[in-house]
Amino acid sequence: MKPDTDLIIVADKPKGGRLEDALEVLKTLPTVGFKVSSIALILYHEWSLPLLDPTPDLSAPARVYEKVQPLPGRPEPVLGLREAYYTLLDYQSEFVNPRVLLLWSAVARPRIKLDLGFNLLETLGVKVSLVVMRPSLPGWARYVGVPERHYTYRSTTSPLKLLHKILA
Amino acid sequence: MSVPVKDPLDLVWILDVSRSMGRSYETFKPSKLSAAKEAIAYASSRLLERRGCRVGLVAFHGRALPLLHPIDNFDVLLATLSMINYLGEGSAGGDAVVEAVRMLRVSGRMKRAVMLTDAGFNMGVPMQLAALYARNVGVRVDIVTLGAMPGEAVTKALSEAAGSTGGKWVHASTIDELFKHVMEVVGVEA
Repeated sequence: MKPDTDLIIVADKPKGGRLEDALEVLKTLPTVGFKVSSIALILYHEWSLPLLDPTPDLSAPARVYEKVQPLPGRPEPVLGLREAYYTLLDYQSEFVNPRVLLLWSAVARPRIKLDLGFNLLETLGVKVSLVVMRPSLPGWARYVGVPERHYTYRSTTSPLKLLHKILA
Repeated sequence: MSVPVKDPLDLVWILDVSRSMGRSYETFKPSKLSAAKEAIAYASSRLLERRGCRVGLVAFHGRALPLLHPIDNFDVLLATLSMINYLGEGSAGGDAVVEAVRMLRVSGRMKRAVMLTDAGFNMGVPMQLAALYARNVGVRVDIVTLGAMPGEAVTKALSEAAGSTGGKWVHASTIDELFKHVMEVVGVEA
């Protein structure tokens, strides 16, 4: 039997991003049907911070994310992944099957290549899934280390199906 | 009103070590930083007389630096404080709150953070987001400003941020007020 998942969501909230879509994904989490034993939320921008440490309350991330005002600037996904690394270390004794879900608006080209952050977490043996909150990748994406395996998000995307695909 | 300390407590001091703290201001001599360090040392000495209390330390300027994980050894705190001088430009108060909460987040005790600063945060994580995280982890954050009274917008933001965690913002214009406020927010008597 597959162990329960400890999910760490790493999300940005920049001005100009498709923020309703990200919120929709978060709101769908409690209905996903998989056994998620804890969920944490990390916000990244030109800095990063945990907003929610691991909690069994699956509806908490959407509530907390809604409170954040959209921020002007250039989000750096790797800073969010670095914060996820610290969360993984601090809670390693409590986590059974940790997974990281990176939600990236891709509104501006980051300075730090994404694969550096993916590599860091993979050294801990943690699977990281990337959802780009756009219908397609921007042209500059090929220069910033976007992993080959990622998901894009259209207005027609079902967040439930997407989460099933990622967490299955 | 004093907050009684009854349960095991971890308290992290958040000390502003930005350049402006290295300057004197009226009764804060030779500097605001030296006065803040004295207040931290004095309040900690009283706090650590109580069983089950530990204190930690985070310093910040444009970056936040964890300096001391919560301990109950006053001599180590004193030695750490003596190493601190004003460190650099910028003021990332939100980052410092996040650093303190990180230090406290796996503590099974009552969790408190007290910031001593002359305000003027101009970098990093916005204070209201740091306070949101502190609240989610159950860390009460109190903010003591010292020196010249910050502007209305700043005091409103500090008051709201601290208030959202169950803490409060207070201002000290003199060194006597600083000691009084610090002792009050940590719940010890002079």
